[in-house]
Amino acid sequence: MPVRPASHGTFVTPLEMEQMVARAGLVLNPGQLADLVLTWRQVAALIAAIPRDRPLADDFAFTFRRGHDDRRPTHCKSESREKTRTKNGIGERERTHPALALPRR
Amino acid sequence: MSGGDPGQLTIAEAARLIAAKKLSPVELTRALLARIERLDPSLNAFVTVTARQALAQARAAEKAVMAGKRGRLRGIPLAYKDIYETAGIRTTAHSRLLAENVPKEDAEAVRRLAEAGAVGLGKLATHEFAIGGPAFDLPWPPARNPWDAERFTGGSSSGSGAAVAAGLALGALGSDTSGSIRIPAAYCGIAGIKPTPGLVSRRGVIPLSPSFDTAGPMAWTVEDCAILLDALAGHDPADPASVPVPKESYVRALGLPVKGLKIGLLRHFHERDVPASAEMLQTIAAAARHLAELGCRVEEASLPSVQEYNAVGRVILSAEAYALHEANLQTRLSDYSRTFRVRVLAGGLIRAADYLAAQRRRTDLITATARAFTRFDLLISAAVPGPAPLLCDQRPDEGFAIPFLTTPANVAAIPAAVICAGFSVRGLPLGAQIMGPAWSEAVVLRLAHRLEEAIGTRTRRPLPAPMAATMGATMGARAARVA
Repeated sequence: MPVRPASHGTFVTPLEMEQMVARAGLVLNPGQLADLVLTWRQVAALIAAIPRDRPLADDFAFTFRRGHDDRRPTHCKSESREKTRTKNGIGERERTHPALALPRR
Repeated sequence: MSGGDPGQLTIAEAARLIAAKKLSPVELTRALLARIERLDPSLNAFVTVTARQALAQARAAEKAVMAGKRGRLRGIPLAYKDIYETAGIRTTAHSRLLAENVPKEDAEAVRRLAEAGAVGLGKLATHEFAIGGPAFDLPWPPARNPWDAERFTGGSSSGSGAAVAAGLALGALGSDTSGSIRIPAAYCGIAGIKPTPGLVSRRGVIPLSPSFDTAGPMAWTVEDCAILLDALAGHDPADPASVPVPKESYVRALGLPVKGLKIGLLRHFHERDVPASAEMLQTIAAAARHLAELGCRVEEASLPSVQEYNAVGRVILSAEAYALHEANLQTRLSDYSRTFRVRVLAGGLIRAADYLAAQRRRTDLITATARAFTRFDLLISAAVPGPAPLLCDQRPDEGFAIPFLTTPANVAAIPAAVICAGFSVRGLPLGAQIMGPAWSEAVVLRLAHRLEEAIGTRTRRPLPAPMAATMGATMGARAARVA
């Protein structure tokens, strides 16, 4: 049964699927292989749906930091916290996840 | 203790009675253990009941109360999803692979609850290793929904949803990688919150997908979730993903006003992306009207499609889950359930380039979601497309085909709470989801609490037909329960 691929642009034949499974170090019986073929078709469709048009230069970089404290979101630091209080408890907070708050290269 | 039904007390109600010395933690624990013995054979919410330890903890709590010690969780019986490690108590992840696994230490979340005086009733059913669906080829059967035992609880915190809804525990720990707190909360008609990653320690919680795993509370009311989160939240230096945010009281925040909050209604989530049932659409529309009556400004909002979030989330989750289980999948494949194998094996075929493409796209989706919060304080949508489906309709091979309305909050790394916002014509719960920007748990819980009160679903408890006879007079009037 041909399986729609991830980003390869080709079908995955049962033989190719068996090779992929062997490369992953798995030993599957025919029923398990049939299940995997069905699931892989769904996963391949998900992979194909992920856009890849982001410029390379825009990729995230890993940054090595000295201490935990640097990772604190801005709004959590006590000085800025007071300033951003409003009657509803929402002010001009740091809106991004701390992982994204890291400086980019 | 009052002559009412202890299983229908909320944590807040029980805490007030215990503090006033009108309710004994030991009697409360005994009553819940008896209730578990009576009702759990129909629900399968528990994998392990720790009666002896629970009674010892209850006695210690009672002694502390009599000595004047206070605390909202002192003497409160809770239960933990069986992926939370518990010292000296079997932690199975509902899997044959860990059937004899007895950890030496408590998970940090369990430790914090115990430190607050909570009583641990036992370990709760989950989908195997917190992924997949109900499986009948495991040593323990899947949990059943207390509103209708033929129906699915949702998962993977299936036992947590069932135990709280049936009043077998006053609160529970769940975990949420793609909706595993919020989906069972919605199907079982309770409240739950998936916090911002890093707020609650994951140390000692068996991982599934480190990019998304979050630990959090489930309870009958939002107020109870706030009580639990007050104890759970806080920096854990031993968890590298834990973030040192200042402590705040989520319970205290419940009393602040919601008037003036700008709420974005994500209609495209449940109308176009994952079309919900007519009664769910009516329920969310009614919730929006309640928000307007509370003084919130409700306007239509939009985010990238649910499908986009799900594609990214599922590729990352599958690859990471496979990586964690690779060694066992290569050597003990048949010890896993078919459901687990179907959901995880494909992760072994995902190329590194595709995994990284998903991670890169995730940062775009985080940014797009954060942008929505420059216009809105909070977002609301359906949590699930309709009421709990039948257990017999759950198919393992459909795992990736149906997108979850809950996954966007995991991908965007934001907090999201679920409340019971209404009931279907068959009397099954319908859940609404409230999302906020990262670290806005206090505001999310505040709005969820006010909305839950305004809608008024918390006086209705499940009474599944097969249990009605055995439960008999225990389902007394609410006034009698708290008298």
